[in-house]
Amino acid sequence: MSLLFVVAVAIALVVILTASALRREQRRVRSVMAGNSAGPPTPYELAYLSGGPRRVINTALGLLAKAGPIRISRGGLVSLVAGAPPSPDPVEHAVMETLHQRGGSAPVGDLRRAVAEGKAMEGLRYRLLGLGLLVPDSALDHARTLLNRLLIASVAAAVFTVGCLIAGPGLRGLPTVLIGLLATIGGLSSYSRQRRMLRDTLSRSGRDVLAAAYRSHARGARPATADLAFAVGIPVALYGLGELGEPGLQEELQRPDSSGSSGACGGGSPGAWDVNYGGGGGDMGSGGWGDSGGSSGSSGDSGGSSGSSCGGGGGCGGGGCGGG
Amino acid sequence: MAAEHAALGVGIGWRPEIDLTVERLPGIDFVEVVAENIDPARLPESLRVLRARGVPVIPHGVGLGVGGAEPPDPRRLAHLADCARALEAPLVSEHLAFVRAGGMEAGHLLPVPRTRQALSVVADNVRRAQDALPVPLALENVAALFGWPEDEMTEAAFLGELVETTGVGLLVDVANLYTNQVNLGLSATAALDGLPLAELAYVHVAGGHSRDGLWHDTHTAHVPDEVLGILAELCARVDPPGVLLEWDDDYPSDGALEGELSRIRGAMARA
Repeated sequence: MSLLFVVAVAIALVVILTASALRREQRRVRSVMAGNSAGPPTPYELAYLSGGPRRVINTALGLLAKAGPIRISRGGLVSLVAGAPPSPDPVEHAVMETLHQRGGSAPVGDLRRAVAEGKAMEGLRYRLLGLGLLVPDSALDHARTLLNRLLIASVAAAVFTVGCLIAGPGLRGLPTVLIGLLATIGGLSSYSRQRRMLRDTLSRSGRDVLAAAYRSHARGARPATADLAFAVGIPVALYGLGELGEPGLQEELQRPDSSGSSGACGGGSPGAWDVNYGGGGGDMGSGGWGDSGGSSGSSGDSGGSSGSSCGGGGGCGGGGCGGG
Repeated sequence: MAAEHAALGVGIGWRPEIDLTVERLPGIDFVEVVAENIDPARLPESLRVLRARGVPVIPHGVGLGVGGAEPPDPRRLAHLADCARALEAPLVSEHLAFVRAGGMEAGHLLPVPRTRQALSVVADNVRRAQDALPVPLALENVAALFGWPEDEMTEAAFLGELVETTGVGLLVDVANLYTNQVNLGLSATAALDGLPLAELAYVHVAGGHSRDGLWHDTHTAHVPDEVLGILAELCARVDPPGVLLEWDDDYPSDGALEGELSRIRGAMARA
């Protein structure tokens, strides 16, 4: 048994053990106990679970525009409607209060940033943490460390394999190269999946709640009810602005933000679940919790899943929160 | 002749803040846009959408100042003309008001001194404007908080002679008639009796606020029943080619605007 073969096996073992530890860590962290909720999840809770702060704000904008308290005009300007009563919901109140503070109107990108960074959004996140539907971001620190180790091991496997190929080990060295190659491919593949999963902070309970909501509310269904929270709020929360049923409003709310700042919507991508209920689309965010629409939560194991429904990078992508 | 003016129907003032609302509102037959707020070379998308649907868009000027002692600014006239061409407008409207003198902007639509001498000057200004515009011009009666002491004619008589002399169309703002009735004691009914309604191009309707006994024609509130009453009286005298709701700020919900338009239709049907 050559030394190179031993090194190949050792690298492969490091890759396998690190990937396995990472999956276990993700399972452990996300298996928090669900708290007691007073009732079914609200549209804004579902929106946060489904698409993060950006989806929450888009849901609020869609609901308020449909209900009447705000008006969207071409160019993505959002205005308060004269005489609109204040909303008891904290997120809706934050939208209206932000507009009020800015003289009654604001570009949708600015509004998104202000609300995403405001207390209402923070309160919603803490509520979901308290209900055990989200896990604290810091709880995933160890998983992120393992993810970095997995990347290092995978890259080491790749360098080792390439080195062996350049050295020309011949037929006797073929097993060594194959082991190195498998370690490289398996490691990088696992790294890619796990990295996607680490972009969100949903607990297993959170995924269950979301999956149940997707089962109850099919994409494209238009509930015949005057209850806008049910008819508009939940569809937009789950699938994005495409469910508004008003192409004009949808187009204006999806206009790219011209101010160019970034990072206001926070968070990572929710889209790393096993089953893609939404089928993508939605709010046309540019990745991450950019309301890219249609991600879903299956109740499946958080580890080893494949397929992303959101993909893309974290945060809000280009142009701050204004992309959709 | 009234038959010369295009049939317009019921409309609303297009403003960028309510562009999607205007596009969505049912039963909008025409709109009006403040000419000074648009660039005819780069029309707002919403106006292009409305035009594509066949909705007439009327450029409405607020700064030409045909009521001034100086001839209208050729650049302003050219802008109005360009707006009319870009929008394929059936007509252009302005105010019978003076807005500047000696390089000073009044910042308000001030009433014209209704004297024979002023009439001659205004008629000349109107003819210059008509010559520069590719479509007919209609002039609107203004709301006033005062009248000139040297006035020799009523507003109706002044407008009547102006229409007769120049052939200019008439844009009757019934809210302005109401304002003048409240603030200056000038009977709106008497004004309707005297106005050359045969030359009516269309009608403006708007709401406002009462403060300290004065009516402020703010275009930011529910249209009072009294204004709709004047509209009904006008409709009893003539079938207006068009009636347009003006709302310029503090925009209410889409439903509220739709309700105001329904009230206007109701007042028209009462006649």
